[in-house]
Amino acid sequence: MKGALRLLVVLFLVCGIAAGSLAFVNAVTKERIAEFARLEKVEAMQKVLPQAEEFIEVTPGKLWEARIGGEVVGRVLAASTQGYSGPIESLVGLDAAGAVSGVRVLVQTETPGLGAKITGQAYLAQYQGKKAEEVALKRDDPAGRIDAITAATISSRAFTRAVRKAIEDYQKGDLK
Amino acid sequence: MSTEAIPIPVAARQRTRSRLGKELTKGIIVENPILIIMLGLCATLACSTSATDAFGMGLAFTFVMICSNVVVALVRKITPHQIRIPVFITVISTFVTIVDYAMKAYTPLLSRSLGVFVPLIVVNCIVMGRAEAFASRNGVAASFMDGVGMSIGFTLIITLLGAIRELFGNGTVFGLRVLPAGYQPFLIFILPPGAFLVIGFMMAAQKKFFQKGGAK
Repeated sequence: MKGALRLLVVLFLVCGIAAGSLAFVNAVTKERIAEFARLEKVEAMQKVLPQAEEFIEVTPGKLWEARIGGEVVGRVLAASTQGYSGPIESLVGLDAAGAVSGVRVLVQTETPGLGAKITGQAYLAQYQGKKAEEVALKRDDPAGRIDAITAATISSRAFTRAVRKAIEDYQKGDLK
Repeated sequence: MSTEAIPIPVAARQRTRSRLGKELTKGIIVENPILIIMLGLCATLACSTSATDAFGMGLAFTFVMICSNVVVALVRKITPHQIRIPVFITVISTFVTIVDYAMKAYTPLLSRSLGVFVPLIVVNCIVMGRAEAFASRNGVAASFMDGVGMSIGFTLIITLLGAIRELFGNGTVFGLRVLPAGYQPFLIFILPPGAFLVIGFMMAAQKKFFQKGGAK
């Protein structure tokens, strides 16, 4: 009995000290981590819609209104999908006319050197100025205007469909 | 008596010092955690696609390895044998979480590219292995030296692995272009099979150059 009590006390003490020190570290770093996550999101939004001054969240995590001095100049949509080897999360900027103003990949785990090229400037620039019906791979759809990445069709297709679906969902009002 | 008593402690101290030195150096070549003990390969292979990531992983590992070895050696006498594993895991995971938070707050970009592999240091068998095989049986100083040596060995090899893979797979080392821009990268070096290939050659080289009687 005495032995079991000793086990309890030692383990309790070790866990208590561990929890205490983690609480301290969390208190010190919490604000910096949250601040960085917020900044990162705002920066990504400014990249897809550079002309906007501020972004107001309309649907949490899915739709933001971009404004200049209270006037709505465009929207930012969140698009996510399953890629070749994991989720791809991205932001799509739409200007007032409903054309794509920019696309940015936030999270992806595609194959380095192949599918991971969806984050490259050369690839993402293709989306600029496209309407929803043009956002499709050329090989999949006659109206499509997007070139797939060589040897990474699955990643390109998944990403392109996610962008298009986000725009169409928004146009149908599903994001409100 | 006093004339004879003096040389003995000096010799003993020298013995201790050379023993501590040996605990430090053994991890680098003779008992290298990756090439010889072959533990923690998961993190090693996954985080060595670039020299920078690999070095970052090495630093995070170093902090956890040294701290956990010291703390485990400190508590080894008051820890009952039956609960030593839960105690070690608690100690290790505490330090891993500290590193994870600190990296997220102060080196966010590195933290993002290492992703889940920083929290996974918890289950890196080198840390647990050294706690159980060394720190729980030796003093604080020896355990500290063991931790430092293992960390140097780990960081050295993972950074070298990262540099080789990045050089052939991307033409750069630490993000700096080394091979000419027209170089067509061998993608396989960045992909998981490349990690196995390179580490296999590194193990072979280690055997050939540093192991007595191992080369054939």
